[in-house]
Amino acid sequence: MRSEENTISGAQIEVRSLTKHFGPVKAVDALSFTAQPGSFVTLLGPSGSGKTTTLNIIAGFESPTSGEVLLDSKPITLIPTYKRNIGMVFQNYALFPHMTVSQNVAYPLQMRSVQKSLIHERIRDALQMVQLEGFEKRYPRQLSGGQQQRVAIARALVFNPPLLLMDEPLGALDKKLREQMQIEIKHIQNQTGVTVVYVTHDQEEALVMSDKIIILNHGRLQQIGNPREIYDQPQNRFVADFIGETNLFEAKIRHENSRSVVALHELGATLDLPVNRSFAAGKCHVSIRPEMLWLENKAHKRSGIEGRIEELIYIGESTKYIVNVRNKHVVIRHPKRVDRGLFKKGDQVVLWFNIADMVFIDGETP
Amino acid sequence: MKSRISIPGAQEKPRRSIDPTFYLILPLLVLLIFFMVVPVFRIFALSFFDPDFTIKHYMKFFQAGIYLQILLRTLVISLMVSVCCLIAGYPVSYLMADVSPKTAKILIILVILPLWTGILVRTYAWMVLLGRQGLVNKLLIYLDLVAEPIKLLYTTKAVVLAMVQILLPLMILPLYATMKGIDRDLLKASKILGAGPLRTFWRIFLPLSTPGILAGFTLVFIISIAFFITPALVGGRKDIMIAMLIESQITTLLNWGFAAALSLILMTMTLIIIGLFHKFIGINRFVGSGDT
Repeated sequence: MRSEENTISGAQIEVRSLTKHFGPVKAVDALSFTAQPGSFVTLLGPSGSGKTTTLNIIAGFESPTSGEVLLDSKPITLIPTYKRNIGMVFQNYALFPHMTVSQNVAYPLQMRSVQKSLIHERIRDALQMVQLEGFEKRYPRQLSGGQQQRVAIARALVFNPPLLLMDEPLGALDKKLREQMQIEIKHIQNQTGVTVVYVTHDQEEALVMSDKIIILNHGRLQQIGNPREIYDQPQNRFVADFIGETNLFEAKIRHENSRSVVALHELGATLDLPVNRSFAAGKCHVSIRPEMLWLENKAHKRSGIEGRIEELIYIGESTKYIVNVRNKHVVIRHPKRVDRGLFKKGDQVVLWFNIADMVFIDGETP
Repeated sequence: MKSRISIPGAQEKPRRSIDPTFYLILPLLVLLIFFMVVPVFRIFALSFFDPDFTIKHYMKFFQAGIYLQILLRTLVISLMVSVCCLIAGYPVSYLMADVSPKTAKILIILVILPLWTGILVRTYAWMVLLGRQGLVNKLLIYLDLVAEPIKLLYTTKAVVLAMVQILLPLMILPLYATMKGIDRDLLKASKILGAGPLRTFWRIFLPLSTPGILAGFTLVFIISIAFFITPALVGGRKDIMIAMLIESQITTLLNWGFAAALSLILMTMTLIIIGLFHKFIGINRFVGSGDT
């Protein structure tokens, strides 16, 4: 282990009002964000949200219609791809099929005219980092998906780039392997200190891996924040709905005397709001996560929001209920610890939640 | 439906039935046996029995220098044609694989359009173009590049030129197919790893396009070797190719035995050259990039 020599000082990457048009389509629309040196930043969004286009512009495969990309404060938009000194892992790995593992890993070093004796050493270190010693002479087609993934990472990092781009690198792997690789990629990133810009459509993956998540939809920025902020305080309905699972209710806040109340007409409930916070009167939306709700048997509680269990889905570590409240479906998740299998399909139940767990989402952003 | 019911024990009998997919190749197999395998054996027999066993036809071929010379000439012309086709066809295929599907479709039509015209027609067209009073000479004189009409027709160059024009689609199509199959992400990967366009071409694109080069080269070479009409019409007295020799042995001299021997020698030479070529380039390295 020669970790000290392998340490890369990650670069800062800044994207400034980046816009890319494909004909009439705005693939990326005035996107700005900054990734601090050594941080793990994820571009998250559904397909067609512009996340891959953004990555392609950073890599230099596409040129932006307007806007700038700065690497350590230097604009790189006009520098050709091969001079940018950025590492990249592709979705399908893009290993050269006519080269062995060690030839693949040597490739970026040969392009940089690294001495032959040094190349050998660096290949060994890089393969050690991804735990692929002994596979030097194999061809990519002789490796499993996970092993190909490791070669791709070794090849992208062997020349110590300050920035690593990853385009849905785990998309082709099965769930178990994907979770293992997530941890391993984080480990390698911590070890090397490289700045990572990661693209995925998998919100769980984004939550697990990122220091900062940038949520995109239709090329437009929806929200930037760390995983906790993104999950706990979604700023609009798209983010609330896209990240995890949630129940969205139409709500109306009004002031009565010295207190504020919120009317959730879909649930037929009007609730007092805490006095220690101020709320603007008017229409808004309320998001309540399924795991923040719980059920009581109607026989035991006489008041509350009433509904009937329409579906019961046993997931193992939790049980998911779909409850019909005035013809609106509300999703509730009971962790195993509190759910003892007392509820059946068709049961009349009462719905409970803490008022503090309501997330108010203003505006009508689609 | 009855056949679907499985009776235990009945299945222990080894299945003797032929794989039904075999019947799909049956028509072609019959055709090949009667019009390919049988004639080849007939020719083989013709060359060795006249009417008793003899090797005199082969002796004649190897003793009189002229026949070896014709064989060599055939191989040289075929090689020149194949190389020229490759040089002319590679950039076209590259372009076709790179442009939008719509443009590629137009280019493909332009490439295969000449294939719909007969070889004889195209050869005559070259005669018109290259003759003493042909378009090319007239243009050269008009541009004051030459004073007198120069000899273009009935030269080796004319043979190669006409054959390249005729065989070019057979080079372009397999090249295009191979290049189309090259994953564009590999080129992107090469660039982000620090290789400029030229090095990306040499290290990645060219090696990955070799199966296409090999296929196109083989196709053009094999067909060139047996070319007959074009060298006969636009070539000079020196430009006799082996197919022309075989034809004259049969139609003019009625020497079937010698013609059969020539045919077998030609076939053997072709097989040897193709074999060497494949071994040299090493096609096996590139096939089957997917599964192990």
